[in-house]
Amino acid sequence: MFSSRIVSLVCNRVKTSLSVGHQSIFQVRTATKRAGGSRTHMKDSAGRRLGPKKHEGESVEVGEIIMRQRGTKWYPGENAGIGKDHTIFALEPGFVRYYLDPFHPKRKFIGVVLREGDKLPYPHFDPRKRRFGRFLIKKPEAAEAELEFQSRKESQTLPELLKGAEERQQKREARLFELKEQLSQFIELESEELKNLAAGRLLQIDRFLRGGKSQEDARFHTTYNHLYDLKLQLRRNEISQEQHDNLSSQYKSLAESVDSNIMFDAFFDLCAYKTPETIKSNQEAAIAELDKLVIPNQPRTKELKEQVFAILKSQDNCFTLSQQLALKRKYLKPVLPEVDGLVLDKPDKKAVAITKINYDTRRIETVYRPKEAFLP
Amino acid sequence: MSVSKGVWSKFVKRSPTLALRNKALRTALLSPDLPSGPVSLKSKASKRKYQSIEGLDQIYPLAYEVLEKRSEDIYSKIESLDKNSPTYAEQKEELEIAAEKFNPEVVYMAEYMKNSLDRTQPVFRHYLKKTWEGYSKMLLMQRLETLAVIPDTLPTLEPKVEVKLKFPHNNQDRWIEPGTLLSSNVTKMPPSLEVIEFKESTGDLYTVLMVDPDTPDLAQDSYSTTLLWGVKDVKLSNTDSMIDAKKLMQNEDCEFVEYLPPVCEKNTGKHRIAFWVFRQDGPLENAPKGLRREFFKIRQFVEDNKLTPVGAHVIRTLWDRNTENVRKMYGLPEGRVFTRERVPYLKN
Amino acid sequence: MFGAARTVQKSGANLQFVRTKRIRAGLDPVAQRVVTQLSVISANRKMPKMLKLSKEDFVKHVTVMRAWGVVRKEKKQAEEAQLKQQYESIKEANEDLKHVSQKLFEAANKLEIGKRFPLELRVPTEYPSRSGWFYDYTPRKL
Repeated sequence: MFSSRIVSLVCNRVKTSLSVGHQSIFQVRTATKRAGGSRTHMKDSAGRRLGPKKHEGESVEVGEIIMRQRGTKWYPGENAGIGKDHTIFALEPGFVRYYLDPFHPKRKFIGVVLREGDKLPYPHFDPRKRRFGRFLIKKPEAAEAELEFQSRKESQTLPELLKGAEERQQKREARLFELKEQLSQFIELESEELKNLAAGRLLQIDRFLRGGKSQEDARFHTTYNHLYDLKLQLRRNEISQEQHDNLSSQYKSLAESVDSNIMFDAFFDLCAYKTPETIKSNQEAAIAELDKLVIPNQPRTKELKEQVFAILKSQDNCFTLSQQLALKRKYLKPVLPEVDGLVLDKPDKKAVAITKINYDTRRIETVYRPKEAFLP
Repeated sequence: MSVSKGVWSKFVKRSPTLALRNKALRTALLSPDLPSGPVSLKSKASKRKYQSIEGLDQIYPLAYEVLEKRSEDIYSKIESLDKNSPTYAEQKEELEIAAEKFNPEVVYMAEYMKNSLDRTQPVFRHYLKKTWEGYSKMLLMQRLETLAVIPDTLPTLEPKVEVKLKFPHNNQDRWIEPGTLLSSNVTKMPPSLEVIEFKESTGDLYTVLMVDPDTPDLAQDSYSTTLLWGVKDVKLSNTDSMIDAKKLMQNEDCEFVEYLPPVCEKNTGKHRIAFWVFRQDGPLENAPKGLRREFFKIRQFVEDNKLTPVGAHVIRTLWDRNTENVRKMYGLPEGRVFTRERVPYLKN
Repeated sequence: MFGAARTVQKSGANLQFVRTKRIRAGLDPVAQRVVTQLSVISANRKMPKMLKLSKEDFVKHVTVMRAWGVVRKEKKQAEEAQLKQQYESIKEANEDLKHVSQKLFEAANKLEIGKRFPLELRVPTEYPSRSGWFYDYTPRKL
């Protein structure tokens, strides 16, 4: 019944719109003028001047028309292009060649070769013959002007890019300064120069670590980059071979002393270096302490929470961020499981109502939890 | 209760890397149903909501049994192969693939753990090759052909290995897709390459050439090829497939032509930088240290050294505002400047 | 549910040439809304959703499909081998016959153009029918 009502409604609407839209079908127009004649001549047009404009071997410049045609009687081959009316024109200056290509046995091609004696098609696996076609700008002022030239897009984006680069550089310098200040807590270096080198090294390692490299890889690549710079200096003859060797051995020893004293923690802050074995034993001890500290399914206090966080973030334990997260999930659950004493039978003033779907009964259930079930 | 009663749960003759390392996943794949729920689903809600396929728990053990039985037959066929036949290694690899191809654990790893597969196992190499052929290989060939790296550098290529490329320009590692336009800042340091072999490989020697076929040659009004980087006699295997700074630092003789970044001159267009990876028959003899870079004849070089091209990669670079800095860094003279427009007629 | 029709009918039975606002193509908005609502409750929308499998179940599903493929392939190969064997033995028998008696061989392999299956022959099947012969059959009277 319901659907029949809808259908009738639709029909009514459709009828209405038809009757309104097509009133003119009731008007009749009779013919008042004779229809046109049936003569078939007078259809001829002037010749379209088709055909080759350049013949085999003739020289052409870029853009010159080689052939006008209807349809692709000829296809564009090497260094030739085709227009929207299938006109074939030269893309490179050279000499016109009409040829067949065994790759397309049913087609005829027109191409342009760069040297007069060349034949088309070129051997398939040979390097292409290309024309450079530019002049060297010899006048220094003109060359300078050409180098200075900026496209519209470049001139629009360049200031923004430079600003971004400047900001990044400033941030880097600030971080470098910070690292240099903190450096003296962990390692004694005599000269200012060595301090700068060490701080630069730490900055690089920091960047690599933030990019996702392991500590070992970060250290290796930092050393490698510095040694590569020294090698380039040698290549530029800025330093002698002897100086180069000295500098690289000096950097290597510095790197060793820095690496054996300083490392980064999970938050990219400096901390004293610990061997993997120490870290492992520290972590085991920390987990044992956590086990002792946190009793399962018992209400947690604020102090307990802070203690756990202190253990997780301690620089002695060197937990990685993912380890910290996993431990936090294990020891500081946001909501404790529904065990006796942590579920209320009736709604209370301070209780929190949690609605959830029971997939077995397909019903929504409400559970009342006391404040103690949650993390303070 | 495990559905496996045969070879697929025995690791005396088979490699332990053919088994899933995650215990929960392994039990899920080796039991008819999902005893501890869907392990691969992450959130608790979706785990609770999830419903397995009806009847799968009844049919899966049967299917497993059928496939395991066939695998057992193939393994016994491998044992009966003639070890002195010249095609023994080939036949054995083929049969080993057939024996493990349908093992659910292997299928799982090949589908979802592509980055940590043990490439010494033929079956994993088979799956890796299939994924490579499905996309990366086709993409590479398309880029090489449309950019005319073939035939401008070498006549043609039938890729046998996957070549991955990355530059250490910033602190992140990212593989570069063939044909990408890179700035001079990115290419200023030597890149790292990964050469992934799909055949069994233990210590094959490889050569890598980095060439720029778009260096202007004013005398001929054409282009010439420049050798930018040459590395030879790099030992790679299925387990160790990287050509990077670490490896080159350990074996300094490998680098026979030192790295020179592509420094394009103004108005010379986009330069294609082709990386060619070759397999060597033996140590390379006709590649002296400090080979001349300019007017490098790559075809001649390949012929002289009897190299087999097995893989390639291509990037593109352009003159930019940083190019002059890179030139200074490498102690090169200032770059030339050419006219912006190409002349529409022949110069001579 | 749908609300009253908003527009008043513009023309009834009187068909006059009146300048009115151009009516756009298609139905008017109310009718269009009804059509949309009808299409929502139509049968096309009641397609079951795509199965979303967990990774383990997907691999299990693939395993089952592959095992089924293997079993079917083997069965088909066995059938083909059997057919081949049958063909070989027919060929062998014919060769034998050819050696024994050319005349009999030719008679056995005579081309019988125009000869059809006898109408009374039962259609050859691989198994006998379940119900056997239908004895009480009486042809329908026309």
